[in-house]
Amino acid sequence: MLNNHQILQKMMRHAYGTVPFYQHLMDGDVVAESMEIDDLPIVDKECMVKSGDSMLSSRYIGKYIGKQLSWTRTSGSSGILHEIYWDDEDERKSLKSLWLLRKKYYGISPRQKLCYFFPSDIAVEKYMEKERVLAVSRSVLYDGSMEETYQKIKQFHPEWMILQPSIALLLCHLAEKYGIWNNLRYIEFTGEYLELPLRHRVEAVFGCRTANQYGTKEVNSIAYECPEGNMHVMSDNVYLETAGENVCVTSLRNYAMPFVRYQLDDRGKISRGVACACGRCGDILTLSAGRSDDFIKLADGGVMHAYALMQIVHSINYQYDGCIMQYQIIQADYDYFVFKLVLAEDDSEEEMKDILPQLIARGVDERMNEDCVTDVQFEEDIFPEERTGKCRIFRTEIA
Amino acid sequence: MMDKDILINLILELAPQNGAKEVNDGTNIIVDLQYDSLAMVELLNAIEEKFGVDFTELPDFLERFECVGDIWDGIETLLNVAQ
Repeated sequence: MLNNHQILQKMMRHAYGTVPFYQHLMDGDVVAESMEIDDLPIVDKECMVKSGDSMLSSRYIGKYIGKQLSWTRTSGSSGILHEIYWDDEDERKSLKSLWLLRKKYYGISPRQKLCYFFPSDIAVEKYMEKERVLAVSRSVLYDGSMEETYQKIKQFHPEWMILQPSIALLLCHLAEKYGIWNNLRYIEFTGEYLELPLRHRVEAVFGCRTANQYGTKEVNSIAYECPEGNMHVMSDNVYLETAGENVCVTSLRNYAMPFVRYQLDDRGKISRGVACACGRCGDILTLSAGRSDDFIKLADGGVMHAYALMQIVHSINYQYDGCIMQYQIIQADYDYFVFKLVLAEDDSEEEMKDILPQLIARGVDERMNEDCVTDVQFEEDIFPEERTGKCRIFRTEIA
Repeated sequence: MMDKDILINLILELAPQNGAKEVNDGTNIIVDLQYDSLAMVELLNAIEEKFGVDFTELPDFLERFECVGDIWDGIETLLNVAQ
């Protein structure tokens, strides 16, 4: 049986032995048994995205061709879009520790009724309900059906929910208007930086415990908050380190599409070998604060979730096979939006430059329910903001 | 009841397909008892509660968790560590 260090070594040799992207980095040299992870280069999302399919392990090409790998597309918080593949069994393993800790810390098990929100380009249905799970499309954030959705959630009476903080805030408004249901025990935040005032508000409105879970589609769970408030690194699932201030992660589980020393967009620090009052001893992650700005400001004083506009790009990518590699949306005025796009360099690039402005403008008008000015700009790169070092997908210039 | 009998009873009780009666060290709970990922999580939780162990303290617990004999070895390792 292998310990975590041996599992890490195994993943290093697998990645550099079977994945063309990593093999190219090493000029075909193998990873010696004596090598440590520090001997390997740090990679970032941009160079990975440009490599395309060469991120897949050659051992999994058969499953890829046979459509036996699970697939998702992610943009993270930087707007750089790419496809992620998992072998089903590895993906399940990557989540097992998280389930164990949910039970241990918060009494949550798979048998309890769950509500969560999913990206709208995954399915056409607005709601998908099975016996113990209610999945809600994020299309409800902009199609005017949030109130109907809240009533549906109330009727389903989940015992726990997995929510992005911005969605939790929207649900707070509705909870204050329509009341809550009895047996909600726990809300897990994920997907966005969690601001403390928002957290306190959610806890006060819903009267339940909350916890923060930090992860990415590439590797799944990276760190999970214990009742003492510490974000414990999921060391059986990832190896975590920092490169400067940026968080770098190596998946110990994703063999189909390995991520080794993969630099994330987030900044933070890792405290090693901390004995926490919760009873666990291990590494703890502290993420650096980043201002969360996920709402479009409306002229009447209201707000709309920026996902409404992000989804335009996601739909286009779904329809046109990932033509947009990175994007940023800027609200310059209440009815004036700038879309900065980095396109995939292929034969369709010029054709896309003709098609996209009209597609995007139409999407904006539909989402905003009025005629807007939409300026589509094609860029070579979208650079991060100097202050945060991050590239925000959306920002508003309205004070 | 011996501790290992307790484990076997738990495995049989939580098996997705009822009716399995025979379990030995070589029984693979995924292949032979049709445990899916959620059922396995439930079993892990139940074992932790029953035996007072924490599987996340076993670095390779995900690899151990398929054959009954390996699961029992893992529990014994954790119990010995606790003592």
